[in-house]
Amino acid sequence: MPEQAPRPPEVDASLYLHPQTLARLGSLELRAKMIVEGFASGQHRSPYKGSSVEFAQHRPYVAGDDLRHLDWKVYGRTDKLHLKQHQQETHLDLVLLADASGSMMYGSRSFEDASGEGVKASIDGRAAWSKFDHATALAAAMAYITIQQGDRVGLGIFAEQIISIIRRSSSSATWRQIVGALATHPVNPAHAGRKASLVRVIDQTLAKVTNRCLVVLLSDLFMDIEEFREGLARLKHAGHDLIVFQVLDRREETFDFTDAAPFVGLEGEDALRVDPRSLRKAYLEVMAGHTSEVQKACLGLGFDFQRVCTHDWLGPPLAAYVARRNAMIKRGKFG
Amino acid sequence: MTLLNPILFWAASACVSIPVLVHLLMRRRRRPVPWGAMQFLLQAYRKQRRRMKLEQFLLLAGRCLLVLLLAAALGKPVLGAAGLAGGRPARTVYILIDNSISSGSVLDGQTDLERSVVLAQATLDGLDGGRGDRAAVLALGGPADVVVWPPSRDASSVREALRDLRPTDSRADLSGALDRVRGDLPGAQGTGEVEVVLLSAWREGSADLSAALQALPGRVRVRASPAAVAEPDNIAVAEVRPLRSVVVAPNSGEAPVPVRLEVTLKRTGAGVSGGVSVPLVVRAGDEGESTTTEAVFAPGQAAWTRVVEVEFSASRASQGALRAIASVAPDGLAGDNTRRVLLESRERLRVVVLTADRLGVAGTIDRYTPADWLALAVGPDADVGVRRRQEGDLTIETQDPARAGGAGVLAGADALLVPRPDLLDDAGWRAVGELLSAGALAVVFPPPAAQTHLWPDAMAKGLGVDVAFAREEVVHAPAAAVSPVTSSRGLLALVGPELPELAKPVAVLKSLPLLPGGSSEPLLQFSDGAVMLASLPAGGGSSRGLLVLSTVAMDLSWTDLPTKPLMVPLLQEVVRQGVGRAAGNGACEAGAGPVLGPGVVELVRIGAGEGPQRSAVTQGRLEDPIRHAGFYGARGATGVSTGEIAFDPDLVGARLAPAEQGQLSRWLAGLGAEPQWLGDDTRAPGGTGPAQPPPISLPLLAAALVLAAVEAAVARFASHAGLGREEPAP
Repeated sequence: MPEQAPRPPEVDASLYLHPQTLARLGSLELRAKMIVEGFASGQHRSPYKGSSVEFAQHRPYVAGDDLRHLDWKVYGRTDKLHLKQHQQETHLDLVLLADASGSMMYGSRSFEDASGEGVKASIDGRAAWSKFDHATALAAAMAYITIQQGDRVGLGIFAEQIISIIRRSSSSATWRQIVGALATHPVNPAHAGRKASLVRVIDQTLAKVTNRCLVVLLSDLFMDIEEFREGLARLKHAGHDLIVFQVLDRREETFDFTDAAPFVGLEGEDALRVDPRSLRKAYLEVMAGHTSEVQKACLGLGFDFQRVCTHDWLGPPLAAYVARRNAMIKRGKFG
Repeated sequence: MTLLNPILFWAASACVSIPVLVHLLMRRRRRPVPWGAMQFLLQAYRKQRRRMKLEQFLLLAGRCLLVLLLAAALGKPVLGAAGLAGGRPARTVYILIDNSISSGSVLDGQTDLERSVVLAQATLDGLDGGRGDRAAVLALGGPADVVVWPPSRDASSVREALRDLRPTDSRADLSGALDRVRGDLPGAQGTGEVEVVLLSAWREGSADLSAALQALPGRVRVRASPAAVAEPDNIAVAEVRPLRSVVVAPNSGEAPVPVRLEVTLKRTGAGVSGGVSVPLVVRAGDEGESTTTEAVFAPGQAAWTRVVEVEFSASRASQGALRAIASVAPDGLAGDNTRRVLLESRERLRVVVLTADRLGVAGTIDRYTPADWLALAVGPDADVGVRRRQEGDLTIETQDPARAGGAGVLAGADALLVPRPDLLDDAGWRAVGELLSAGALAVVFPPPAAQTHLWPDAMAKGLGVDVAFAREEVVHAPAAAVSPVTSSRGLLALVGPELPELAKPVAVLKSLPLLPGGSSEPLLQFSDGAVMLASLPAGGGSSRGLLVLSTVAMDLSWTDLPTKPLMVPLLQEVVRQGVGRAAGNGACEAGAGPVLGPGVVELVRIGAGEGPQRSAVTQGRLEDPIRHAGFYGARGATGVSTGEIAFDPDLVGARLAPAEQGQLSRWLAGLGAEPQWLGDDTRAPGGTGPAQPPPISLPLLAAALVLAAVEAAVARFASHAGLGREEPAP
């Protein structure tokens, strides 16, 4: 029996963009929380007043303002100097940050069940649908939608630091690059056993991004809460917006093991031989406490937080998220 | 605490290791689970570590305790006198069962021992191990032996031990068994009732009703089997006696060596009034040639004696001790149908006369010294005064007493004739003593010319014998006459009928009186009863060696015996019979302690048969008593043979006349309690315990079930087994 040739990344991307998922997301518009600066015109409103066709407002002139923006007609009628400001249409710059640390390698769901196409294993032979698989599927879906809207998308895959990066672009070639990177960049054994260092990753990301972006963080957030707060604070300070997707496996949420077994950490932790039933309650308390802290940190800085379970389809959480974003924009929160 | 089923208990207790083994095996077999959220699991573990370890320890301890409780329930421990079940107090039963030689008597196709075993089994049926009843078994075949000791609750083991009992060839040792019971009574009486069950046919050989029994201390119930109702007809081989205990068989090629044995049969029972004929078989060794003689008893004749000649092959005769076995056909008692005898075998006898070297020739008989007379009597055809000469099957040589202590001077001598003991120094007496211990004969005469006799002191010291002479000789005026001491077993028994006539012309003018005391056996005596010739064992209590003492010097100034016809047969018999006796081949009754020399370290059975194959000897006593007849060889520390012993059935214990019931009852009452007779219902009074007690302790089983329920609850709590009903953490 001839060996089946590996499928190209474009084809594999369809695994992530399951028809059911795309069917639900195709009619939705992704609206950014913030209007970021951009080069191409789009449907996104910019918070910056500049040269545009849609008038926004007048404001008194202050020393140092560009004289080109003075509304001479107002000056002629009122003898006062006012600047004429316009609502500028901008592009959305989306930066996807996908966590590829060791803990993201865990998955209790079979690949066959998650893919929905009868594929029994991943390209690299894994039979389980890991959190990384789920996060990259979600990232690909967001990138696809974003590029369809003509916005720019960039990608960063990180563990304890940025492993690979794709510059922002709205071209279809960028989409292929992103999908290829996500599909061919599973958790590398070389990076397994390393804990994600968010502060370092944020610093590396900020060094590459000069304009304000919408950053999407896809991670299980199994990191020190203080470091997580520090990373978020730096993003906030730089003026970026952030959507946090905490990707968890269902077993991590329920810890429904019944048989005693040695548990081996994926990030170099000591093995623990324990009866899981005796630890379940305490584990769930610790887990809930950590998630709560993460959520508080996000909301406290005005960022969005969404928990995603690997056993759920990609569509429902994305749809719920986008619907809530639209509602917030319509209320003029960022107008 | 003791256990009714100790084997089950220990086997089940070993199952305590099962939970631990299961735990260890599961640890090895479980596959590791990769886990992403390990940091939260570790945090949870650190929070719960102490509580989890405590819970796990409690679970393990509970499971082990559960297994132990089940083991104890199977083992059925008994706590306290009343036992777990409560009710009547526990009972300790000492079963003293007669397996002496008389217990093998057959009546109506069943032996007495088999009847006693049936009664013992019935007694055990009345015991309830669940109540703490215990039983011990002592066998009376002397010396009394413990069969089940200390008292055991394991009735099945007791029954098995009873089935293995066989009659011994020894007499019953009831007093020894009772002494053993007395030593255990204080402890047994502290745990409940005590009962002594005596199981015997109470025949004359089993119960010496003339010896009173010592009362048992405390409250003891005594139950006994009734006496036998009849005496079976029986013929016993009462005695097998060689006419000469040493067989001198010169190297005569293939010619067989004839040996003459006097065999006595005795019969008892109601059949004595009638005539009977039985074949008597006398064998030369276990597998040698046999001679069959028909023993014919006339009506009313109880004893039958006949001299039977049996021939040993030349090769067998040259091997040392000769074993002869006489037996009759099976009858009412099998144990006394065979008797054994040992004979000493020599190619030639070497006789050494210890005397000073002669100056010149002997000349006429008035110049003969005592040594000349002795040598002449032992070898009548030889020339007097020759240092070494041979006379038939004898070799006669003289040695200087002053050199007797030298190395090898006396080695190999079968008999020593000492006419001048005053010439032996201490070293010489020690050499003589060593020779006696090796199984030789010494005949000592007083020196004729001594004024004061001090040599007996040196002799007693050197030989280690308890004997003393007067210091000065006694003059008999008129001359004392000599008369033999009648004895069927003495050295002179073979010439006993002729001795009175031969002794008549002998006159004794002087003698050195042998002082009373000691254990000498007189052979000849004077008319006033004073000893003239006596024998006694030598070698410091060893079974080997014989010392013959004469109170008259073989000198014409003391007696005219050297010139009388008695002299030659007297010396010949003393030397030839004495050598056989001194060789140490003894006879002993089964169950009795043989006389063993200090050099003997063990007895080894010769040939097949019941009883121990080996029995070590400590300070002259057998560690493992020999209760069955057979030949045993004595071994020294280096494995060298130091003689043989024939163990024969105890004929006193084989007397089969049953005791009279009333007399037996009074005799047993001496134990302190009126005996209750065992009849058809042999169960103990009040022994209404369940015929089949439950095989498991129900209280402990209930406790185990309760513990199992508690353990299950703790396990559920500790392991949070209610997983399905809990909601996942938000």
